Amino acid sequence: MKKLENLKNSFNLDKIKKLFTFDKTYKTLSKEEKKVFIKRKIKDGVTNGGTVLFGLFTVAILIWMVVYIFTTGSSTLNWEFITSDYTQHTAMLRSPDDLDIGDETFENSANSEYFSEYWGVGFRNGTDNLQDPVVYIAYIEENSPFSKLVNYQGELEPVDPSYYCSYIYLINGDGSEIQLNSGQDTAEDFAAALDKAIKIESASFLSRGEGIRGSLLTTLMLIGFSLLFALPLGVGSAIYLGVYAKKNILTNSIRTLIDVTSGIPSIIFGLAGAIIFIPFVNSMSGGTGGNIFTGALTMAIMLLPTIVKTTEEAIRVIPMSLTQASLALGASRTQTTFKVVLPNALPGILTSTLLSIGRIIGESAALVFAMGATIGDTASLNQGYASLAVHIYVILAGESPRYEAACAIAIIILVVVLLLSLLVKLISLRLNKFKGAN
Amino acid sequence: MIEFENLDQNQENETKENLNASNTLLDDEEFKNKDNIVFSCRNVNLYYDNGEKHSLKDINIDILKNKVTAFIGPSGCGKSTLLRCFDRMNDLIDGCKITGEIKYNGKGINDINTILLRTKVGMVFQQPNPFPMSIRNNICYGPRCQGLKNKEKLNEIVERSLKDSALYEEVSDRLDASGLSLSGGQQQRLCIARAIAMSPDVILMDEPTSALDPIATLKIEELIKELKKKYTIIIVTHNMQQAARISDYTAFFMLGELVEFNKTEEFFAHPKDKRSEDYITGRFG
Repeated sequence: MKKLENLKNSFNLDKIKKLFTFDKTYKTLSKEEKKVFIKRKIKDGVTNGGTVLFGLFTVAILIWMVVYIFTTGSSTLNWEFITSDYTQHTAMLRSPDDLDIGDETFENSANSEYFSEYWGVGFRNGTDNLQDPVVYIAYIEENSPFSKLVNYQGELEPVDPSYYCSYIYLINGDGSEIQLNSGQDTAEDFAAALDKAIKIESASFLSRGEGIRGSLLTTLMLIGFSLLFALPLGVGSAIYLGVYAKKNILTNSIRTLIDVTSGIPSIIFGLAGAIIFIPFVNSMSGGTGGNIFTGALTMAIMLLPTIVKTTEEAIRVIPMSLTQASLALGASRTQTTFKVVLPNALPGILTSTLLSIGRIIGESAALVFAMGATIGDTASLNQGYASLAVHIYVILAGESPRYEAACAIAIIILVVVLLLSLLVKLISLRLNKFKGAN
Repeated sequence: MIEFENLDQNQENETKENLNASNTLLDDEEFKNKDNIVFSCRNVNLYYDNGEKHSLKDINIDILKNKVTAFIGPSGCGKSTLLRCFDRMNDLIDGCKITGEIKYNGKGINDINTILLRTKVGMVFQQPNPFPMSIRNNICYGPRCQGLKNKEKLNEIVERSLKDSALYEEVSDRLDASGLSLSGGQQQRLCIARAIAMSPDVILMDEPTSALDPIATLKIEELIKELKKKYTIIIVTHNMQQAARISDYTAFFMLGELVEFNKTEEFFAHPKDKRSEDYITGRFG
């Protein structure tokens, strides 16, 4: 309510009027003084206007950026994009040699818009991952000739309805041949041409591809392993620094070192990960190149300063009276630490965890070297696949940058980071309330 | 951090002479029986900041079993500091050094394991400081730390401690509510219950009512009168009337010195020292 009143006051009309009119004393001023007065008034106006303008400009740029990313990416972002493979799978099919297309027609029981009665198949227009128009299989009638297509080994292979048809090569009843291509021909052409054909010489089906499932899973796995390495180490050293360490040159230099480490650019961590962790992990696992562990170890080292600092801060604000009460009850130092100090520092630890997750999701430079820049279709322990941020880097670094897909991934990252920071705000709010109750 | 200097024969003789000279040790019948004395301090000196600040000067005092002993005096006179010596809470302060001899039940306080000592000597602080957990867990905290896991026994302890601290009727129906949800006076009684749960011999109270309103204070004072049947109580207080109301013995401190120690009625009726008299009559403090 107070804020609302403040807002009202700031929009007070009288105040605005005052800006454009001079007060009564102005008339009593001499000519010289009037000059100075007006000069100062203009100067003030320009300066104040300038600051407001810069502020608006900054906000406008940020909003424009976010809006641009959302509008560009939203058309690509859908469930299929999130769950499908990055690799484009191909299926080359043909009709079996003994297939005889008679006069038998099939019912369009799914009410497809474009339906081939003789082959029993419906088509629909759609787009591929690059937003180019392609033709999808909408529906295949049971026991129809189209459901009996075989691959080049002669085995029966049903058509995956999520695949689109890149081209189809047909032989007509009169012996003529015709090829239809997705992009040039529409679903209507496909259905019409198929109705005249007696044989499918070859048909190429492609999966959508370009999906981010692998990168998403890799990112989740990376978050898990990084926190697994970083949290015990970070919380442990925070407990040491916050509870046990006495103030001396050693602990002070440790603190300074931690502060300095938090400012190191991430690419240097990536370098360290590549030349330290990759040989180290590979010497134990016998693999080559980066994998999820090298990436997680690098991220853990990067996260440690944040975790140590946030947790130590949370430990420091716990009232001395609580630790004293615990000690006075005959609890040992360790019991006090784990039963009183740590539970009360939990919101701080949670905050540092959330901040860490945000950092892991957004990190790309270090991971390119320390984990890998190959986009995978699934997450793997012994293969260093790209995380979401690295995925963006990879698809933009190629010859034909795919901005829509990159923006779609950016939306996911932005939303997750936004939610995380909101959660951090909520937790710190609750923490303050708890302190107030004390 | 506590450095005790074992007194050799010479020093012991000196101490005895000091004792005779000191007016803070009483010759009453009760003090002659060693079994009656819980704490005895001889020539205790305490320095903060690595010896820069001399906070306790040659303290000699005996604390009687099952009596309420009150420490009074102006702020910064060292009464809380001495209290904290009894359960070695001063160990927590960097650069704190203690010389002299403090005995608990005839045994040097430094020869006893700190944790064991603190289970026998409970403490209640100035500000009510229940843990941010349920009332039940607050009370179970101490016994659990000593390894007690039996649920029935823990429940027994909860009930007994709450009844002893006159809190049972008020909270028996919400033992799982947070300790912080109680009022200030209730919180302080919860802290007393928490200390009682350890079945201590001695309860040290560091101005337990200074953060409370008069009615809560009254309740705590009544509680203390009940508790002294079972426990030895040492209470630090700013409030002279409170000392007069609840204590059996009163010790008056000033600038780190123990000025006078006597039966409470005697002390308030006929203070021997000029400074005590001035303090009681309200000339300062």
